[in-house]
Amino acid sequence: MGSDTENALKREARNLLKKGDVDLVLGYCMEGDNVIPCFISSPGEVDGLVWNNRCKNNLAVYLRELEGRVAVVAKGCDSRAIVELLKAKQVEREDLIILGVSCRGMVDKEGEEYGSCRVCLHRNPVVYDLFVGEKVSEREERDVDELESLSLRERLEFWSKQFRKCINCLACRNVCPMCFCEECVLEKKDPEWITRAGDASNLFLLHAIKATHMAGRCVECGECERACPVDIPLMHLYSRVCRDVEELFGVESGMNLEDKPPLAAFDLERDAMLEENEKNKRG
Amino acid sequence: MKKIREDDVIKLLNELRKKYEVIAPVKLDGRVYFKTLGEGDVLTLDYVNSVVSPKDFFLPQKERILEFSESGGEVTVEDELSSKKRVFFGIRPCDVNALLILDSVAREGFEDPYYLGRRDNTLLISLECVEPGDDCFCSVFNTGPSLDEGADLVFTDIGDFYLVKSLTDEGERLVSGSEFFRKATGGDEETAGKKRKECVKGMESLDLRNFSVDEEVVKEKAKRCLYCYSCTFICPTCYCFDVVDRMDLYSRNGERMRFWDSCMNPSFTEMAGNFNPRDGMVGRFMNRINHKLRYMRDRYGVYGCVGCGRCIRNCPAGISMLEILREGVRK
Amino acid sequence: MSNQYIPQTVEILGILEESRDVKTLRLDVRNLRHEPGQFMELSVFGYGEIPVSISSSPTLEDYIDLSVKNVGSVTSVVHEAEPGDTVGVRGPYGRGFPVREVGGRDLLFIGGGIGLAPLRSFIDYIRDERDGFGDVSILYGARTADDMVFRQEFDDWRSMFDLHLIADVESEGWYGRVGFVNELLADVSPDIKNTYAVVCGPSIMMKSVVKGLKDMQFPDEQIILSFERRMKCGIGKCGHCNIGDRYVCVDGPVFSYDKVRGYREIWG
Repeated sequence: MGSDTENALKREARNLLKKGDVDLVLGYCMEGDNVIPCFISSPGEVDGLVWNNRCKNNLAVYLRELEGRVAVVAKGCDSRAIVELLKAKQVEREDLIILGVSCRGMVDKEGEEYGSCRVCLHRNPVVYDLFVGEKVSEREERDVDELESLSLRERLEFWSKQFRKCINCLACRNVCPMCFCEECVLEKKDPEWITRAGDASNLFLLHAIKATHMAGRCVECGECERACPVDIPLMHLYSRVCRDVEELFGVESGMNLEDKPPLAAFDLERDAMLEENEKNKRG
Repeated sequence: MKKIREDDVIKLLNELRKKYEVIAPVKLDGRVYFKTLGEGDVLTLDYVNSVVSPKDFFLPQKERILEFSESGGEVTVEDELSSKKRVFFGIRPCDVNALLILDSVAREGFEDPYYLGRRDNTLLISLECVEPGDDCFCSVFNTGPSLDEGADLVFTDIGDFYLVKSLTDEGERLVSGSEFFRKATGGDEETAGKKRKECVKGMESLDLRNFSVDEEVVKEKAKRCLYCYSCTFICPTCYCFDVVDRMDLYSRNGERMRFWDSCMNPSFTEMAGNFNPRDGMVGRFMNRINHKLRYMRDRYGVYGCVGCGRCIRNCPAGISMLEILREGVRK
Repeated sequence: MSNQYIPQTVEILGILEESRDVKTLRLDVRNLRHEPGQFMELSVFGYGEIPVSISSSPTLEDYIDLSVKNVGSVTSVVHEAEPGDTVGVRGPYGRGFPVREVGGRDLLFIGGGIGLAPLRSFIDYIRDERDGFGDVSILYGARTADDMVFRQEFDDWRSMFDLHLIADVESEGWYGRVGFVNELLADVSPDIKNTYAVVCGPSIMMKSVVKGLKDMQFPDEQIILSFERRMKCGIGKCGHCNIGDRYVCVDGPVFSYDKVRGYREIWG
């Protein structure tokens, strides 16, 4: 995590803005001793850009709302979110210049690495137009999932206990770069599937619905967990669902623009789809 | 003035549990929540503040406000008001002040019997802060770290003991009726005074007489807000709620529920026919800030923020209410 | 402590079809003594509660009228109701029109669509207390002639007041004027010093009418507006209906223009 990368980022950002290649650079700046997402529209502001181990936000979440051509700083998870947004036709490729950076894991104010970063397998950006800095080595394998060794009853107990903490704020959905439905089933009024006035079983259902909707979508950025006021380890659930999808359909979310999104294109002849996706991966 | 030994606090609460429902701080997954103490719950006294604000115990995230039933064409409607006697132990001064703000909303004009039923039947034992948290800024609003009104009893950590100050008759009765309190010395009071002073010394001080919401600065922040609603849910002074009816699927009975709503939600102001007087994200963000820092003051005479810092701690986009205050004073 | 959230159950005495999507519920509520311009919270148990302007005059002691446009999930159930059914009501809530303050003065009512409902309460009150007020003009517009509400009263109004109608678009059988209601302002020449304008309708209509009234040199204090906002409680607790530091439910729904002019979001 060096100022070399930061300086190179500034250089590229300044160039792009000067040449008029982009209207906006979406990156990170400081506010007090906080790192915050920022929107830079003139070369003069570029000096405010930073790159360090506090740049936790997944910037892809802003892309759908922005107008014009945007250069976006993208670490591994940001880039995977961009891939998914492109696949879902939520953003236009030609409106984006992806400034790829590699990530060594982000830490909170106290210097503790975020849970999502500790288990991350994709620290290097998977797609970019310009790469800045140096690539980092990736972990080869996932950690053993401790929950996996528990019995079904124990797991049910674990998640029930977690969901009982839920105060129904929907921050997990609202910060998710992959939650872009125009009308969300969790807030749909007529008919109302899920109510905020519901009991514990209703909360369980809420999270079950959210998790199944993350199938083949979650890019494991951990925004949901960081936004959750009561620390429900939501990403664990979503990334578990994604592993199932990976096994069933051969798609790891956010890795390949050619992959068919399983939720949109699943086929009862799953083997056919699996084969096709395997072929894409090789080719 | 009285004092109580730190080890005796749990004994006191256990004693109180015989007569009251006792709400106190407990740890869950490493963080602190207020909880109605039950068998096996372990009290913690080591915390800055709770994750979810105490308002949940007065204006719960969801509650039934009435039940209705139909038989023979007759509709019967019944409410359910709380009159349970409770003791809320460990509430911080900022949150006591937040309750005073919620009181002014609940008492203005028509009274809110659900909130006030809980409020009037709950004794507050506040725990003053002797060490501020990273995001605390109660000093700005003078809503902490010490407390002179709003609670029944105020505890101040003076080492092995808590100094105990009673602010109401009911608080006084509680102290005099319990064997765990003993007489405090002048030295104890001096220690408490020193600790209070020490605590506030490390905190932000702003002269709010020169404060006004700097709309340009706030608009800039609105851009990065993710409209996640979490700030409004954990805020101790956010009081907005929504109401829905729910029917029992197997009878002609139903209930009317109210539950927290968030002004960050686009549907908050949306009317049937798709008209939304507060269109756009910036409008929503601006309303939240203005509501806290301007409208509440104009309407109820108090700022709608008590500086508990929960929204700062939790904001996924790093938006800081304190920063908004600083920028509003600076200008 | 009285519980304002508990509705009183009342019987629907009758239902009047006002237009293709507006029905008036005539409810068994006696001696309510509301101010024209106040509203009730109407409950359909199991479906929810909505604020509805009282459209009948307080001079009627045997019932109240609530006129409901079919626009959402609760209102669609209201439209299926039949005489004899039970609904819940609580209220009256809010501040109505400044009836006493405008006593003796001329009044210029300007309504759009279902916005005529609260005005009708006031207009009928004036009809019954005719000596207390000066000249009355009513300018009313709706999308089509079929969307005009309280048509059964128009003859009665014409006999006592000056009534001008306009439809946004043409339709079969409509030989009257076509255009927006603010265009009707050109048809009247009120004595500005002595006249209060009372306006209710869709936001965009109120905005253009206020502009028209300002062009005619109406002082802000003499422009009386009735607002509509999303409300859940009706009693200043739920926080949904704020315009700045004002709550439309308890400080309004009626405001004079000078009281709200400075706030953002008044028109949306």
